[in-house]
Amino acid sequence: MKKIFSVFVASLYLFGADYYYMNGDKRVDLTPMPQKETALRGLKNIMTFKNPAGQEIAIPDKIIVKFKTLDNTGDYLNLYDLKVLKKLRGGVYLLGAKSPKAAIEAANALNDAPDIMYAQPDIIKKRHLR
Amino acid sequence: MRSFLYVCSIMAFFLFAGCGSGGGGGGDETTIVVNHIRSASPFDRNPLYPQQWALHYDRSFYNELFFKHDIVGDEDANIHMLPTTQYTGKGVKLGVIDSGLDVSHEDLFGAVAATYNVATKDADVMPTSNDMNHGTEVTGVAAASSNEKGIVGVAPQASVYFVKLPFGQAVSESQIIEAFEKMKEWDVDVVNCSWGSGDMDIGVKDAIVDLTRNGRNGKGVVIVFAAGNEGDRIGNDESSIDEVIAVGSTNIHNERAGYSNYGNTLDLMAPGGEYVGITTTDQMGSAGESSGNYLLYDSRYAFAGTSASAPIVSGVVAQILQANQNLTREEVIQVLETTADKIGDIAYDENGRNDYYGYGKINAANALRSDR
Repeated sequence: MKKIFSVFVASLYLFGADYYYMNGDKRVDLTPMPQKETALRGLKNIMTFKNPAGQEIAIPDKIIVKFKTLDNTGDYLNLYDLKVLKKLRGGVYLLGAKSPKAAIEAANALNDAPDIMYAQPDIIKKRHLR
Repeated sequence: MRSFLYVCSIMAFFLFAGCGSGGGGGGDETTIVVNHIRSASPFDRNPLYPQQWALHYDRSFYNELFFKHDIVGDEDANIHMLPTTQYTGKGVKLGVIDSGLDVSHEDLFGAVAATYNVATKDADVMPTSNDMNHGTEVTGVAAASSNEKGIVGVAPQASVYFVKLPFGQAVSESQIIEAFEKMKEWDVDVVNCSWGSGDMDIGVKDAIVDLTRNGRNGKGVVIVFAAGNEGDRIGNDESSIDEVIAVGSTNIHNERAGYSNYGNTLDLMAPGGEYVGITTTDQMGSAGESSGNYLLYDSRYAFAGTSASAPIVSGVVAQILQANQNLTREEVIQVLETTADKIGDIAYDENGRNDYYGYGKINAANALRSDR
């Protein structure tokens, strides 16, 4: 049973679920990769991927959302089971989701919502000093 | 006894200054201190000033380059910084977002007005390892005091506002946004960013654009980004944002450094070291990458790259804003672009730019003398 489960998990990584997020209007497809094989290992409660540029990124259980209007924020939070973690600035919030997968799904759904300017996972990656 | 008292008084001074500027011990929140009044000695009284080839031409140093290193430098490789202390960034808030900063550095005493560590949410931005040197190197280039200790920064009387990000580890988009929001809260005038992602997301771009448009009471904060060191075309990078200044590097021969990224979003050039490094501040004493307090031009770990070029431009921006605080971001950028030296052997278009040098290499003297 354990072996079958391992094969199932491995096949998920090999063939991948359809993971992506929206960077504005641009769809960014993600290739899942085991966290232990990434330089981002050690972080907790994340999913790790490679983006189309080959860069390793991690997605936590958080998303960044910019609202056009704050009239219906409560509805959106309830609909996608989100909570406010921090106000980043006017209209821009860091929201918490139940899991990294839920964060990706919520961000993608919210990105299409009429009251929302943009929504994306709180992407974690290495940045380079120059 | 006298020496003991002397040591005690020095320790007390370090302790006081360290607490005041947020170094060492850290705290629960950002520390804002009244900036020490920094006087500015004549630049040539700083012992390492002769080797600061990026700022001025020094014949004896060029002779040393030739006889010691067999390098024949171009006398115009520098930015022609005015030799007087008329424009030193006095009264200007210069933000730096980088790795750790040695706030106890002898050449940064009194320079640091506020610090914030995004990862730990306190004011402790001190480096935690010898190789966490970048922020100290960058800040020294931009704002080291003219105090007759070592070097002089381009804006030696600017007030430094420093945010530490966990470079070298994973950094989240929200942490980057928080860094720029802290700059907005501090109401800084110019922000230096000697880093980049090469793959920018919309949240970070939005935060940067917001600061450039709405900071400084609507006049706009000038944000300076290093263009990158891959010798490649600038892609979807923070330096590609229209509202920021993307800075590439030139060398001692007054040419584009081979590593310097290029493209249609490149704005300006400044010396960045190649063959000859940019002398700057190291962590004090045995900490850092050298055994002393400075990284010299010919050190094994000499500072070079577009990271070194960007703070030169940030420093000149501070000089310009000291001259006229009312200038908008667009006006500052226009001054820099229209007064830059058209160096290199690549033709500039009718707007005065090309993809390899942008609008050319900044010329501080021209920028400060231009009719504003």
